[in-house]
Amino acid sequence: MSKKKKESPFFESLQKGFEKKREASLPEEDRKAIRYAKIESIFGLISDKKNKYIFYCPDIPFATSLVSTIYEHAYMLRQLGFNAIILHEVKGYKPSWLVKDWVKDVKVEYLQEKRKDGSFTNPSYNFSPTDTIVVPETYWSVMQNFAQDKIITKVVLVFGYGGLANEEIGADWSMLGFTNVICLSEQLKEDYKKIFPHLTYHVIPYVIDKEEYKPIAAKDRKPVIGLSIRNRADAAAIINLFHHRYPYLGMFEFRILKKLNSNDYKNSLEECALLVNIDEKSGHPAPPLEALACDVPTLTPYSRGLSHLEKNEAIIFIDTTDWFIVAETIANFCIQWLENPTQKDFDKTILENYSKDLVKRKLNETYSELQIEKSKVFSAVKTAIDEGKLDGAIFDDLKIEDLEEMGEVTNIESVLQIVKS
Amino acid sequence: MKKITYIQLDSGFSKLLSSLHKVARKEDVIKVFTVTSDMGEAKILNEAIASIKDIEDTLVCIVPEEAELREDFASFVSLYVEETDNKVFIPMVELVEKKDDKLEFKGFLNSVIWKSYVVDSAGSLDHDAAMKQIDMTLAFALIDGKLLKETLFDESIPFFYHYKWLNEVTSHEHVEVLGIPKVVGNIIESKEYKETTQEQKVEWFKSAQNYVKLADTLSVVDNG
Repeated sequence: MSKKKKESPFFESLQKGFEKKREASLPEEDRKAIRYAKIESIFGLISDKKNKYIFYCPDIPFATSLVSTIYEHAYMLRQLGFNAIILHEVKGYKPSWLVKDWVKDVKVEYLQEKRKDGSFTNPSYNFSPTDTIVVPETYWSVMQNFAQDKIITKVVLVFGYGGLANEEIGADWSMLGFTNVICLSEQLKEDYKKIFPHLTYHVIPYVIDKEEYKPIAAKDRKPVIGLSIRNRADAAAIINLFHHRYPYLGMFEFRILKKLNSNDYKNSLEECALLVNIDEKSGHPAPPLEALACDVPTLTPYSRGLSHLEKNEAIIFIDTTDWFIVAETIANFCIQWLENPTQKDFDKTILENYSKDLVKRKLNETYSELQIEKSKVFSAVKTAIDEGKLDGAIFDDLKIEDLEEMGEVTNIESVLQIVKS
Repeated sequence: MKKITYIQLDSGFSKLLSSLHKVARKEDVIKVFTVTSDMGEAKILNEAIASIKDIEDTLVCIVPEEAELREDFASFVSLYVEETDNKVFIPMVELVEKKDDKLEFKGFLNSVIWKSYVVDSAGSLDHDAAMKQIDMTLAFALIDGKLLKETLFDESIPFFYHYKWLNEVTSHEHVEVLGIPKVVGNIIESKEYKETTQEQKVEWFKSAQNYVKLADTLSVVDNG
């Protein structure tokens, strides 16, 4: 295989433009030959899993399961041999709160850069027809950028119900070409399927690592109430109300778990006597499951995102988010906790659905299906071009570099040479 | 865990070891009288401690008069107690008031040990927090007998002798005072010093703190 020479970005872009112009100036017969070679190469790329799965990931500066799940899925896909890449907005962003050894093994690219004067370069990224873009469901505006792209595969990654709030009224993802939907849970899948029945659905959860989240000894448990509350004002009001109404329970300390780095979050959660989770907008919240793994009960208002935990005794459901009732329920729990020597050993069977092995298997199944689908699409395209029903010009944007990954070609001349031979 | 010896304070009027007889064997209980003796409580306790033969292999638990201890006390605390040398384990205690033969909840004692804005590390009483003498009591605490042998209760300070003892032991680096975040029983609010003036109580309080001030002064002299 020829060693690719490292050139400056400016030189590379100049060369690409030059190659494209040269390609356009070739006789029609040669151009067809090149297109044909490109289509042929696509099958090689797909069978070798070298086609890219690009996960659009917003630059969220604080801990969120959206970013950690994207990283986790991308990392596991790379372990499975898929060419998964995370695409962030501005160069330099790192989820520093995600303290995991494997983060360094995730391939990350960026849409734009911040210049020294504080301004930003225009966002740009070179997509190839073989690429798949995966966009979280709340990022409708990002999906819109791919509306005109007919050949790239488009996938929606569904974390919750934010998709319904952010899409244009009356529109759906398929109007922008996003026809594959990967949901974090069966509930999300069922709910979206009722609304958009014409899309193709898959379910891949996140991992709740039982090696990482596990119960600690009773003696290490502290009178700490963990708070995972979306609205900061709600958290502040509940803490104040609790301390004012129940001053004799002052030994209980509230700890806000949101925005902690992954290590501090885990260490804080496992020490808790109780987790209070108020996040009705979350489609499939991880904190109650992580708490369950640590034998920490969760107090939470019911939401459809928690239907899978409906019968688990680790979950204490309340009917309302009324601050007074939440504070009173916490106080009642605290009094019982003070008198109870040990923590309960809750039924953790449900956590089998979030094991590393299962998530990896589901990722492999789903993305392999997407690979097969991609092969079928390109087979159909090839047949259509062979039969003269489709103009092969749709592949003009396919870069020579993609072919180079095949290890055979380096420029137009060599493509022609291969095709002609 | 070392064996527990309970010291039951009794004025002679309370039911004999009302709850303690369910908790401990008779031979593990030393019953001392408070009202019938003209001695102060600290002195009585010091004498009871001195009477324990194998004090270094004992955890001492002081049970105030009419206090109620949960029946599973020993197994309960064993979940929280491992290494006991030079350690004091202080559980949460419910404070109740007796009104017309009914017990009325007043609050929890020893809660300060879990307040991270008071102590350096939640669950451990440091010297500065002990000095503040907020809501600590040694009732139901498990105290390494060796520490009680080395540091006696100050017989000259009524009411605040628990606090002074905690001030003293927390000033030693090798001693750890650890919290048990669970309620193990209740004690009845003492009426013994109800008639004592506020000024007198402040004087006792200052005396309880005095030890540390003296120690600080000595350490300055030593360094000088």
